[in-house]
Amino acid sequence: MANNINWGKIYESTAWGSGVSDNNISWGKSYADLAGGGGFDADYQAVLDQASSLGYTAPSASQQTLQNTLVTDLKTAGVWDKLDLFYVFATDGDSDYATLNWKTPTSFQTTKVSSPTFTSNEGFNGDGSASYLTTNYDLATNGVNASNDDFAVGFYEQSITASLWGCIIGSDDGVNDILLTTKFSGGAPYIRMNDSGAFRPTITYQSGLNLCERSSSANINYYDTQQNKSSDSSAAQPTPNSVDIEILKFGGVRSAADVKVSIAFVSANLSSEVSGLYSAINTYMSAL
Amino acid sequence: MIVLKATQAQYDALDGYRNGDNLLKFAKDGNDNWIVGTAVLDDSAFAAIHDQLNALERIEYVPVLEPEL
Repeated sequence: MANNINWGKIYESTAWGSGVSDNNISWGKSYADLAGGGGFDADYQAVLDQASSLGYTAPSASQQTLQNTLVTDLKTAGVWDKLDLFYVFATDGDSDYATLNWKTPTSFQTTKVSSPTFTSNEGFNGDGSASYLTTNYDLATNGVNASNDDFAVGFYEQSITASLWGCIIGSDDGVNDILLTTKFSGGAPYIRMNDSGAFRPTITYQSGLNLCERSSSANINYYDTQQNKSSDSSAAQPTPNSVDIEILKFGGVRSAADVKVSIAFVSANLSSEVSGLYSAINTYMSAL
Repeated sequence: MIVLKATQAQYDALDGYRNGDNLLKFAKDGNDNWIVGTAVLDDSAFAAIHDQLNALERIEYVPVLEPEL
């Protein structure tokens, strides 16, 4: 995509004649557009290029700069290379732009199933009955960096009130599950990471960035919004088979209407990158 | 909460309708009815089937009994 240099703005606002007092050459405006539309990290530029090719409305210039910083911060933290999926639903681009997978913009775009509600700069809500997002990504067959014994799922959630379930991300083949909820029965998240047992960390769920990873065939780590770590020794079972990872829904369980998801991702385990991940995402969300 | 209930014939005709990155999928409610939320009626992605969606019966949503995890 061409750099969005606003040359027209310079010419039309430049008074060349003698005796004209308003030589208003808008260099500041032009530099601002350069920063917003060009010179981006190649991987973020690929997101904008895919949006353009599909006719989607990209974010504002100022938010493009924020999003570019998010990508470069994730790279600096060592997170980017471990990602398979990275969705930023909190954007002032349109709801279609929000569905793009930043890691590989031409694949695993989320499908909006039965009209989840999109709120600019906040993300998607379920409707409490039938609406959700599906990633079209099956870890068992589509995993690149993520694999059966080495993967992480995470989300940034806001606005939860009293949800019983608040299923945010998961997949279920009826035997083994990937599942990370918000508050479950009013308390801690309910977690399954390629197993059929329940891991309930001894915390009360809070809105914000939540991360869970299978760091080995025998260990699960959960990180709350403050990066406090809880671990569980749970043996991995086979990855849910031929089931896509869904967001705002889990298997046949309805999504909660009071859960709004702003960011979601799937990656290899991020044990060594937790601090950088939280810093990058929280910096972006705080700037909106 | 009011939702839209489909008969089996309506379900067969509409379920799986796709427009770009938008997909219509019915879910089961607690009475085993095929239902979808009313937001689909205002979604321009489903404009081509709005007449068929408007023909669905409005019912009060019956929550699904949450399964044991």
